Amino acid sequence: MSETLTKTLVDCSTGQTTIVALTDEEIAQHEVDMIASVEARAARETAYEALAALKESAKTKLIAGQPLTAEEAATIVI
Amino acid sequence: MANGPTLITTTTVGSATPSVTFGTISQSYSDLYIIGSMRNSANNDGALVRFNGSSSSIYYERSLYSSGSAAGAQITGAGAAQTQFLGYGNMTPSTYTANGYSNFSIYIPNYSGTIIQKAATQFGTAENNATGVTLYQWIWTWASTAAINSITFTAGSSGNIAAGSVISLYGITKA
Repeated sequence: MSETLTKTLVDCSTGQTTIVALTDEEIAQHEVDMIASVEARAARETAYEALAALKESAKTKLIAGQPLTAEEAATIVI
Repeated sequence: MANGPTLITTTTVGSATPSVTFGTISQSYSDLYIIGSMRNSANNDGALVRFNGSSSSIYYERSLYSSGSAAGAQITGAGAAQTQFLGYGNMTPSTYTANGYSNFSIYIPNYSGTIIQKAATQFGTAENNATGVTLYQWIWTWASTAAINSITFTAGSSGNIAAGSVISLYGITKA
C-alpha cells in the first residue's frame, strides 16, 4: 500500500491546522516539482564543483608562475 | 492597529509533512515577515516556495551564496522564469549535523498591493558541524500583481519538513 501524500494547511484567520490528502492534480504537480527540485540541485552542485576546480587550478598556476586561462582569471578578479 | 510586527500565526510541525501552507492571510497589513527553522528529511537544503498556489512560470530568483568551508561568494539561480522559488538555505538537509535546523527569514513588502509585481528577500543559513556552514541571500520577484493570500513551503527532493520545524508569519503595519 502506497503512502498517501498529504499537505498541512494553516488557516491564518483562525490559526487552525489541518492535514489533508493531495488531490490527483496536486499529486501530479508534486511529482513534477520534485523532479525539477532534484535536477536543479544537481545542476547547482555541478556548478559549484566546476567553480571550485577552476579556483584550485588558478591557485596552482599562480603559485607556479604559469599563465591562467580567462575562466581561471575570472574566479579571482572581481 | 499598532505599528510594527504582529504575529499572525505560528506553526510547529508535529509529524513530518511534505508541505506547509499558510492560507487565508489577512490583507490588512503593509508587509509580511516570516521567520523559521526547518530541516529536510532528504538531502536538499531548500523548501520550494509558492505564492497563492500558483505553478505558473512567473518566479524569478538570484542569490549570493557562501560556504563556510570555501571562502567567497557566488551568484546562483538561473535568473530565468521558474515555476517556484527554490529556497535554498531555508532548510537544513538530511546530510548535515543530526538534529540541526536552519535559520531563515523572508520579507515581502506590499504583499496586498494589486498594481505592483511582488518582490521578496530570503536570508537563510544551515550549519554542518563537520564541514562548515552555508549561507544564502536571495532576491525574488513574483511576476504577478495579485495580492498574496497564501504561501506554501514544500520540502525539496521528495523530502518531508521534519518534526520540530517552526514557521511564524508576522504582519507589519507601517502606518
